[in-house]
Amino acid sequence: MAKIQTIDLNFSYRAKHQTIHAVKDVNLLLEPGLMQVIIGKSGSGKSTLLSLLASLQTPEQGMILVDDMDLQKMDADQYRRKRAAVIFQAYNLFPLLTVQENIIYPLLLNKIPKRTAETQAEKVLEQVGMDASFLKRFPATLSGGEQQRVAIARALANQTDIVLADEPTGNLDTKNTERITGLLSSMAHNQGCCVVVVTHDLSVAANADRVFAMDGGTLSGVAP
Amino acid sequence: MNPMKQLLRRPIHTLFAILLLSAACAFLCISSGIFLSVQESAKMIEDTYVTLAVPNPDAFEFSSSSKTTDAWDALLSAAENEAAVKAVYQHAFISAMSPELSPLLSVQEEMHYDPSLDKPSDYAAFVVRVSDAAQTPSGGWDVSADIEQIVLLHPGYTVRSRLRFSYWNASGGADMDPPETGKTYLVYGRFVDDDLLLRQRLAEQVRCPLEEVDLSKISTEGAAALKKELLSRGFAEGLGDIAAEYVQEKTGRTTTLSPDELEMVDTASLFPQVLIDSETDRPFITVTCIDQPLDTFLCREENALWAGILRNAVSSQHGFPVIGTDRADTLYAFCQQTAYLSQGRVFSAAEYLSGEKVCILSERLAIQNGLHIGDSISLQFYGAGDPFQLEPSRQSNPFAQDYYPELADEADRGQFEIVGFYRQTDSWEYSLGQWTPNTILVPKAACPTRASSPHRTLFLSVVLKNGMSQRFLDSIRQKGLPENAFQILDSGYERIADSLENSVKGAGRYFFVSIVFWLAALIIYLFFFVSKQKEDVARMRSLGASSGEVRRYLFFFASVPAFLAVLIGMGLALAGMEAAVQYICSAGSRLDTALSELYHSSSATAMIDVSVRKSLICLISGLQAGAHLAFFLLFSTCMVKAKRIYVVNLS
Repeated sequence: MAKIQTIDLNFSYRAKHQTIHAVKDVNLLLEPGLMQVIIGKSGSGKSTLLSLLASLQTPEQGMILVDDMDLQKMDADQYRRKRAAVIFQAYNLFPLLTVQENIIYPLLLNKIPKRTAETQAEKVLEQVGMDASFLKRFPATLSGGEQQRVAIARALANQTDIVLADEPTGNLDTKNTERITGLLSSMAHNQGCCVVVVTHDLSVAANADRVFAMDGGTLSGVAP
Repeated sequence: MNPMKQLLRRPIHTLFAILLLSAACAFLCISSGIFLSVQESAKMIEDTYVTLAVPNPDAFEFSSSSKTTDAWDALLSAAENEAAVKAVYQHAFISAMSPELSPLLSVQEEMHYDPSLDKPSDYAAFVVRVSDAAQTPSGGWDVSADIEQIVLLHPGYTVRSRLRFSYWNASGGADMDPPETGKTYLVYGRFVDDDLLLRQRLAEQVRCPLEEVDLSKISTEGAAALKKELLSRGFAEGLGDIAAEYVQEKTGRTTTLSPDELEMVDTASLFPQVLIDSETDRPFITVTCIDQPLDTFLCREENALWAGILRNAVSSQHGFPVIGTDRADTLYAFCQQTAYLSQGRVFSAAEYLSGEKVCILSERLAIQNGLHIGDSISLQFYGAGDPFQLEPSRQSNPFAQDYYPELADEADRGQFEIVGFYRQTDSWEYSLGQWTPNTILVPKAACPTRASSPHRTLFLSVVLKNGMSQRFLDSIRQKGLPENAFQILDSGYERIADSLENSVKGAGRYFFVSIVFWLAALIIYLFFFVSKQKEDVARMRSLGASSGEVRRYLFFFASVPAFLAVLIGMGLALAGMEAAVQYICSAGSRLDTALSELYHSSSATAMIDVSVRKSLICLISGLQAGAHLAFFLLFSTCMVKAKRIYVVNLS
């Protein structure tokens, strides 16, 4: 069960003539077994915060503690491989790999036998509402919603204790949004995962256990 | 992630990438092959084409040895201090006797017979019976005789039945016994085949091959009728010289013979020698009456002088002219390409330096004597000095001196290994700087120190830097020497100089373009094919792939098509290089391009050979493969280390 805590977290993007302070003095506590949503308008810094939590970027100031351990001192590759699964808004599926190959890729990184990984892939695909006929298809032949579900299935398959999702329902219809929200919620509640969802979809926020609001890079509110 | 799977799932892209890199690889291999070939050819051409400056005999006064020496010294000084000069070589001359070698004679090639070229093998001795004698105005005697016994004659000569010779009192007085008709004489001297000279003259006059001249067609009756007819037409002068007429049967062409020429039929001339009797220190002429068999005559003590003369004459018949050189290829005939190496090799730098006992013979002399490369011949050096001492204006065909034991030193004897044969376009050419096929070439350091360096065109080679002849001549003129002091032989270098320069530049340009093309192809490959993987790299990294795993993936993803491309490019280059060379060679006469001219002018022989070219292509391909790998390693490392790769590619 993973707990994430940020302490005075800061991050800026430096362009040619200006510096954009994307995350400013963010202090938050993300607990296991809860589905936590970060909401905010575009440019509020929520996706940057997520990428910092995923160790895709390094904070300028402050620190991120994962189970009270400084994330920067941890092996980032091992962290992403074994502890944190990231679901991207743009799916980020490998276009030249089949659905099955996409799903089993993180499992193979973790040295799970291919046969076991394939069985696992079939199972998680079913969990996201897709049958085995999708396994051999390439992402380009899937709709946006289907691709997002495959991306979620890939995150589920690895059974990490942290799930970081960036606008996971941005391209889904209402029905699938509900299904995915339910799935993420169930991961938090049933598997004890620390689920962090960045979204501007209030229907997703409505199902969250805790909601953080961000504005101009700072944490502007927490509910409840 | 399996890079092979990734490549095969985008076959068009992969194929295009392979083709692009293959073309770049092939182009680079071919152009570098051509570049190196041209460089090699140019270097060989620079080495092969020797620009030679030789003293022009017309610019000298040979009648005065002091003037010649001064002029020679001025030339040497001018040449040695000139920046356009690469080196100055003064070749040496000496005679050598080789008992086991039989020299060639010009008389053996009848059309080229010139008695002066056959020295000193033309010494002959006969026992003759005098048939006629006439006193000359100076008190000597012109004698006609029948040959009774050949005592000494080179086997190359045809034996004639009659001999003509003149002799006089060598002591200068007029009190000498007249030759007695019917008595036998021993005569010794230089042999001239009059019969052959007559046939040469007739062949030239009636314009027919020498072998078609038939001396039985000489008619004295015809001459009388001709004389009568000419008299009737009013031609009176010179008719007294017409003794006979010759009619060529096939063509009907005619010519007349003088009384002297009429006497040349089946006749030879002998020119007796004036020698010094070492005991009495008095001169004597080599004609003596013998009233006993020759063997008896020679065995008598008072005739020991004659026995010695004949012994020395036999040795002289095995005398050969020897040219000692520090660089054989700068000899005038080699530069003028009237002589060239037909087998074996020239002397090595070490042989020149150490004076190794090695020699180069004419191919014809070797054939006549059954010699091969690697055989050895003995040479006893003798004599020294200017071979043309008595013929100051002579500039070619140096001949061996007459042999006398006192001219030789036992220490100057040695076995010389034959390392090469030269061939002459005309063995008996009597023009500037030529030598006879009896001439033996040895390293100068192998000659005794007394060997001379005569002041003749043949014995001085001023090697100029190619393309600098005009500068050299200008400098010579500025130094106050005659404008024609030197004759330049550049073997046609001036004609190809521009082509050579353009070819080297052209090949360099092609090579440069091919490198640019290769780099461009590599950049296109990296940025439009390999770097398309950056999104996958970002995905891999975001899913926890380590940098090593990603680098390995990228490296193989980039290397597999590149490796295939190098293999294909190498194959294309191996096929294309030969085709390119063949095309350039065959198109030499049709294409007005500098490159083709170069290959045409060098007959493609200077090109580095095929096996080297193939090795070169393999080497260049290997280097390219190595460069690819290094590039890919660097590129994949850079991509993996790019800090913003996730943000840029995943957002």
